[in-house]
Amino acid sequence: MNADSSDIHRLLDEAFAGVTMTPELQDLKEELRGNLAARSAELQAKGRDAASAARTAVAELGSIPELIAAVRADGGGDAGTPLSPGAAAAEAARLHRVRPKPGFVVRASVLSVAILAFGFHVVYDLVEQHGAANSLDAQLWAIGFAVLVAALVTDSLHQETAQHYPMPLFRSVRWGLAAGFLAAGIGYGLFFFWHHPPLALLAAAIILALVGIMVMIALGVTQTNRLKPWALEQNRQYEIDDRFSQDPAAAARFGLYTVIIWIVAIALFVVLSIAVGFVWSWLALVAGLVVFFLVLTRMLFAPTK
Amino acid sequence: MTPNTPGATSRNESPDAFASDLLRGHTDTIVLGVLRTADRYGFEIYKTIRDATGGRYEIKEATLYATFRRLDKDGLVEAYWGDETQGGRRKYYRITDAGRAVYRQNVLDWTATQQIINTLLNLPTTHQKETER
Repeated sequence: MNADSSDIHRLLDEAFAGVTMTPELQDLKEELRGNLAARSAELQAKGRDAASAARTAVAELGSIPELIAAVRADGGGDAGTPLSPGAAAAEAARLHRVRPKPGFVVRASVLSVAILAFGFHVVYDLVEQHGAANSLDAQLWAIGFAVLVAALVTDSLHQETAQHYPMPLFRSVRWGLAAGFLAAGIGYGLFFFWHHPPLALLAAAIILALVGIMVMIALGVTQTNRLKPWALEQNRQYEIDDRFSQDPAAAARFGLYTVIIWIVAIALFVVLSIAVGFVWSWLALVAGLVVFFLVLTRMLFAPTK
Repeated sequence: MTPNTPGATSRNESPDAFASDLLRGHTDTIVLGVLRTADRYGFEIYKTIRDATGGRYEIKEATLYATFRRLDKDGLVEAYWGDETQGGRRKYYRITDAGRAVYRQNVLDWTATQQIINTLLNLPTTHQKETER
């Protein structure tokens, strides 16, 4: 359901790209989102695929720029004034607030309790029932433990991290499997150290853990927010606010100052070394460093008017 | 408006075009009428109107948003957000008592106007008051 509406989020973000958001416009955008999702669902029920349904829904809506202009004109003066960065951030936080779903809370609690029970049973098998851990029964408990861990990880990750954008099901399942493998690998590893069973088991433990770790690394390095609309929006609105990126001339001036500062400092150092000796001459370098940093601070974070 | 519906543009040039001009003047009343029975969100309102006319009359959705804002500003409807957790949240509209009063008045006005026009056009004055109450 969420995967289906991601096309709408994208099209909507494109339509609002570059528009300075006001609370009224944010409201309009959210309203459009809900309605477009409903229209798209209707089209999909008639057998259209998600992408074309989203496009049709947006096309049918008419001119979004006109709607935006109408809202602007409607709101009068105050609607035209853009939000201050703080207010915009608060607004974004409000919109992207995550409400935990009761179903998930219940599932997570039940799974956690079950994981604890299975875990205790596995440890009990390991520590108390030395031989029993070899039995099929103990194996089943251990497998159950790993499966439960996998389920909890998958379920948790698939929850929404912002209002409309949960982790895709497929990715969360892979995380879950990786966690399950890792849990099983660790379990078998512990089992090995306690009971010294055949080496094959140790190999299995290592392979399981390695697979889990490798999958997690792969998932970790490919995990980004780059496609999430608010990340795109932030990128768009990001203002390079350090002075040297904004004003290359200032950077060039700073470069020249640096050269001058260090030439003077090194010259002083040499002169002092000859005249006074090394005991005091190093102070010239310290002074040079201090001046360098003062100039850097002054120029990089220059007050804007 | 509906690029997926072939013939949508040609329909605008048909005699129905006049009717939709006339209809457009009553969008506010039509929306209030739709909201009389239940709170609805934007697309639902659009769909109700579309389906009620068998698809013969489609209000432009963009026009509807202007209508919603006007009705909201005039206190004839009030908006609230639904608690959908997935997909998009929906903004629902609820008709206010003032909205109901305006709706009733507009229906009376329309009935009177309709009778006058019918008389002037020498049409038999039909006494169907299907939309009222």
